[in-house]
Amino acid sequence: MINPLYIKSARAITAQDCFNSNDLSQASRPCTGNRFVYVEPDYSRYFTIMQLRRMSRLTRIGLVAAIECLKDAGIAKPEAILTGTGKGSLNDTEKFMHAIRSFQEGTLNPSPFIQSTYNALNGLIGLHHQVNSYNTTYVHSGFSLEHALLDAALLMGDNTIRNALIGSFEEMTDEHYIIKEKLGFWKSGAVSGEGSFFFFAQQDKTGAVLAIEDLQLLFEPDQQKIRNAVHALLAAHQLQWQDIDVYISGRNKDTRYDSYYDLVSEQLTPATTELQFKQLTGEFDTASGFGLWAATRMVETGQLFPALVLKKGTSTRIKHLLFYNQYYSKQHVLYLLKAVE
Amino acid sequence: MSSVFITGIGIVSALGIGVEAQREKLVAGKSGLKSAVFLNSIHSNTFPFGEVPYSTEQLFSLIPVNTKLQQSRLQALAALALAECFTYCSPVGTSIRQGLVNATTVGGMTDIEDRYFELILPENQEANTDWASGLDCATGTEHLARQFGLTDFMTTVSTACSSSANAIQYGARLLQQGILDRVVCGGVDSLTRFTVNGFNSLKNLDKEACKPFDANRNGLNLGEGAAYLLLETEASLQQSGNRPLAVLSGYANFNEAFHPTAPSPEGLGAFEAMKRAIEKAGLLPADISYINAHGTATLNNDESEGQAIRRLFGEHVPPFSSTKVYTGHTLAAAGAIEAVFSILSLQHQEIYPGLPFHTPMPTINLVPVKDFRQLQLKHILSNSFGFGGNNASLVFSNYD
Amino acid sequence: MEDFKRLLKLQIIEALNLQGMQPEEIDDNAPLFGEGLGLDSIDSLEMIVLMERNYGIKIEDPREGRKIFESVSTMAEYIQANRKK
Repeated sequence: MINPLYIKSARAITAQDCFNSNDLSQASRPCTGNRFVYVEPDYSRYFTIMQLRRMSRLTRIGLVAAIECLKDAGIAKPEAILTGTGKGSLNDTEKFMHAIRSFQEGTLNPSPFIQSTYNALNGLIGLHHQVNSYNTTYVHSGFSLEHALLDAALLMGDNTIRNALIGSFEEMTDEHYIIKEKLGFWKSGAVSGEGSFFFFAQQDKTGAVLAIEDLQLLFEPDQQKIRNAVHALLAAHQLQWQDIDVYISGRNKDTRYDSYYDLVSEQLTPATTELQFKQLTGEFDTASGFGLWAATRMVETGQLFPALVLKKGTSTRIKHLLFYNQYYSKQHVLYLLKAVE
Repeated sequence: MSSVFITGIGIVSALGIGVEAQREKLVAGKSGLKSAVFLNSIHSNTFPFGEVPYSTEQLFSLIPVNTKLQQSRLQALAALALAECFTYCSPVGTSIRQGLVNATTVGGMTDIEDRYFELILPENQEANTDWASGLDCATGTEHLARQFGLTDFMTTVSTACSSSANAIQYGARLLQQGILDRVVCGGVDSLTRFTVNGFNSLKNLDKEACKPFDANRNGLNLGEGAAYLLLETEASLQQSGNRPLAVLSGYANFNEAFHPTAPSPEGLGAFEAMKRAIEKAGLLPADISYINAHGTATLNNDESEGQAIRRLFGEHVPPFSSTKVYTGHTLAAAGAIEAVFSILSLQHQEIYPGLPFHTPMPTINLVPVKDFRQLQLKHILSNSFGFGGNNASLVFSNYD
Repeated sequence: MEDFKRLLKLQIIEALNLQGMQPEEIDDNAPLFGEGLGLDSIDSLEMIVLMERNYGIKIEDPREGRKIFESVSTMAEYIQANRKK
């Protein structure tokens, strides 16, 4: 069990037009060639030419999401910045690998190397907001965002910090798409995606929208272990299945692994509305960020996003939410979420 | 806050495999820096490197049991350090919750970069491309977790040169707040053409052995290696019966938001990280017996770290040195490698010479320890500072 | 020389990724670093790459580079005197 994290604001940049409105009411954009690709924000609204020169695609996207998230929270300087990413700025990593080969290890431009470091975005957020603080980055695929959240909860648990900016960022490139294709990521129904998400979370519930009541991380569990973990999670918080108003699942149509989500669906009572989102975002290491963003926004507006509904339940409130995501059956994460009254 | 005990250490660096090999060289003042043999780069002979003196095949032949690892230099280095880390301690029952907090800057880049350009050709279809998953930082950690029975809880940290110091801090919090009972924390990086060219593009590689805190320093030397610490709570100790080697008494992380790569000249981040770590340990600067400095020997780092040490300790700067003259800068492994050196110093009540030092920096006038010395040591401060202004400091104390 | 300075500015804009900046916005004699254009140590490294790729001029020590890169004028003069291509 963790100390609850109270989310005050949430922002998302994805392949859907969900950034400016911070909503998902617009008609959905389809994927192109098995890939969902970012709708990029207008950077000129945020940065000068001099600032933009140092930022590549993913750092721009991540920084814009972070800026708006802090703006929504009305906070100039968070007390910590924690992020998670599976692959960081792939464009920069690849650019530098190509440069090494093209110029035969001669004199090379340092910028792609600098930006390829996984914590480059954290540093930029810190610089942009002039935040001197705790600052770290987790790079563990489908656990990346969750370790950033867990670490923030621990830092609040011993009163090192009272609030934090927490987020994830991910991009896909042509080259990496091919690599993942060869590794079998797209062969059974999953579509590639991208997304950056930022959350402002605090120790205190004042002004907050959504509480992360608990978080469970399981590596390569068998199906029984998942069943047990979900039961234990509900029991630890004195909840029955009929108390769950909304179940968000990370279904990605991959015929090999979607049966995991059924383990939870099977247990649901008619009360629960079941949602899914990867038909709009695609799959990526830190896709769970979308589920958390959607949960925050739906609780805040009191409206479910219609485009996500898989099965409508009888409950009319959005109070208790269960969110389950897994990444190719390796990293499984369970979130127990609750609306802040 | 409950105590965090260190009951196991394991290490591989340019000085060799295992704790004893390291100490022998440290006591004798013998550096591991030389031309690289296994690194595939045109720079192998241009710069000295802290390369682990074994081929990847040789490293694998030294791993006692290997059933779960990929053919990867990164995983081999880490596995050897992890195996040693566990030789110290007795096995525990299943009621003990344990985990692995690993750190790396580029994951399995070494293992992938030679084959990358064939990999990205769609028409090039190999029967088995599983090795390509090593590009992902999580992959190495997961193979290691499977090999060492640590799959219940795992993660990977990447904050450039402070990565494993941050992994150790996260591990401490996981214990202190009851998420885990014991946790293996550390980091690994293997030398790669990618990183060598990266630092070369920043023009901060010295063509000679690095000269930390010297006025004539001219950059860093890159190294490779792995190190892990086994951290346990009091409750875990009661079950395992392990005897603590030392205590992790303080830690801090502080980002200074000055510049994407360079530290501020006055060393604000370094100052705050050190100050907060010492405070967290419930100590005063005067209680610190020795500082294992970050001391990369880049123009910027040593200037700002030196300024910060001056400001924090005033006229009473404790003995300090940078052990990067032995191992090179091992990036994500550096924090854990230097943690192991700090624990060795506490265990044997000795500090290791900073190797050739000639001219103090005029602005700060600090002179690192030049000779092997035996003295009373109670608390050691270890610094790891990195790109993006990410600064981490750890305090290790005697167990008594 | 005026044409060359304009070309050089275009090369600087490209090398430093100053998207949308026009050559006219860079003063020939204003400092490139610090108060003027506001470049920093990483830009200096990028300009070293520019010097080598476009003019065959190798600069080993970044501190040496900072003197050459004082302004577009000093840079242009240095290139004209030392260019290998």
